[in-house]
Amino acid sequence: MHLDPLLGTTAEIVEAVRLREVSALDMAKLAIAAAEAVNPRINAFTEITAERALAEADALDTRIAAGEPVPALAGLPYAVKNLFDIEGVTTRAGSKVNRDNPPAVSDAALVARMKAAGALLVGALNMDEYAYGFTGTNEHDGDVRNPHDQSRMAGGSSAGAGAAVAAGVVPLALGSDTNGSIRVPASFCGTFGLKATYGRFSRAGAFPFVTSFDHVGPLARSARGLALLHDAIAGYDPADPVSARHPLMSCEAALEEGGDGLRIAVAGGWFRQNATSRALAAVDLAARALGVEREVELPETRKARLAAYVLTASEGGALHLDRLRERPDDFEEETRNRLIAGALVPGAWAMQAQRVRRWYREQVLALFDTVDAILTPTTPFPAPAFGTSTIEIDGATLPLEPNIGIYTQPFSFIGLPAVSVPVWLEGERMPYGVQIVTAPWREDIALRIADTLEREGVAEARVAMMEE
Amino acid sequence: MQQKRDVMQTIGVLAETVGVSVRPEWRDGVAAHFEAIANAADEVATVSLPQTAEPAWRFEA
Repeated sequence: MHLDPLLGTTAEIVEAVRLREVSALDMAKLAIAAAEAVNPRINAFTEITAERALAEADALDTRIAAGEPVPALAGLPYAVKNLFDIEGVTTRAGSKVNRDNPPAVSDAALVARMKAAGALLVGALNMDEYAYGFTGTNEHDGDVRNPHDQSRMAGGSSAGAGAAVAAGVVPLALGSDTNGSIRVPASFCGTFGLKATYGRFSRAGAFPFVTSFDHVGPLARSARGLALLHDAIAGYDPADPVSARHPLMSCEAALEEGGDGLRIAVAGGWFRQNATSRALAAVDLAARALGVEREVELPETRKARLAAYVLTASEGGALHLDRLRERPDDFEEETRNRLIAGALVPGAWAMQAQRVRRWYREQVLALFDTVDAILTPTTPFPAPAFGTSTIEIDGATLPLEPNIGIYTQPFSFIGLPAVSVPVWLEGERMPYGVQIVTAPWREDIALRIADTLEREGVAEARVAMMEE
Repeated sequence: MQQKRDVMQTIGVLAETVGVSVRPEWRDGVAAHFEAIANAADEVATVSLPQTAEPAWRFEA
């Protein structure tokens, strides 16, 4: 166990609570104190649910003392992006409009499953408005700041989740990922992040954005933490219309198999373009550690990404049409303009994008006949400074925000599982994310590779040492 | 200029059709996003697929 229990990994904390080296109540108090101390500097939390965390902890300690079985995530403090329903709290989804809604009458499915698994909910986390952004900026709640350098962005849209984990407030947080919104903050903040196969985690009670792309899932300080979380709360839920009945396997048990024998390739073509040399160096470092020599090319990824862009705009705009009609002044200007434009997309454009989506998925799935996993950069560059609107890559000046998700978007578009691992290059002050993509339902393989990189010392989720 | 005016007209007609207001001060912002989507759709349209290519995202019996 780490000297500071809160800085232990997910597995270490659960084990310490199980052995009664630390009580759940102590863990809750530590996390609440950390959130209150750190939040003024990083603005990760929009609500600290201290009363709930203490009550959950007290109930858990009573059950453990009575000799009841210790649940899988016993005493684990965590927080959730504020698009998840929390009983008694209004689900704002980063917006001004939604905060006029009544408090949620019940927990989102994953929050309820976390509670049943013994985890302690410490709070709700800041995000981009309606999850439509990659920067973690928010006019209503203020911008989330990167714990490793507070002049930089945390990445979005699960910005508070990345920041809270990287700051050491919680070892694990839940976010959502439509085009990269778990993996981007994981990359910018230096945490591990899992976007599982579409349909693997229940989205019931999570405010949607683009329902045919929307995933929910964890960010954590270790690959094992992601595996533990997966095993505890993944699986079928009839309340989510796209939830899948696909058989579950234990990802934690799979970690014992290590990375040997896996056929891994680096993605070429699109995934070697428009990235800084250092982002590519992080991928190459991981590839060397894994003994990877093969490169594969995913066909027409540029056009697939553009198809994802068209569908995101169209579905997102359609979702918000009533709010755009009734309360347009209560949106951020940029969100409103994007959503209105999306609401006007002709059906023929969206239908062609859907056909390309199906075609692209079939092309990419065929690659998994000969490889088990594909490595790419998670983002083309590390966390940018606030106020940055363009980025220089290979002598070209590119607009910042449209390029943040160019490597994550192609995979959420077709529902494939992906894990982002944090890599620190020598001489760099900020982390780089490396993305591991696998075939549907093979989260176990992605997590095995992530865990191997962690054991090899290539991937590491450092807790930020924030100066007073 | 002609193209910009056409985009503005298109946005005006479509916005009225779906029942959203685009105030004058929002038009440039909405138009910029709509043009970006249109350009993306143009490129997506160059992917040659047979007429029978299935648009359904998920099809599980």
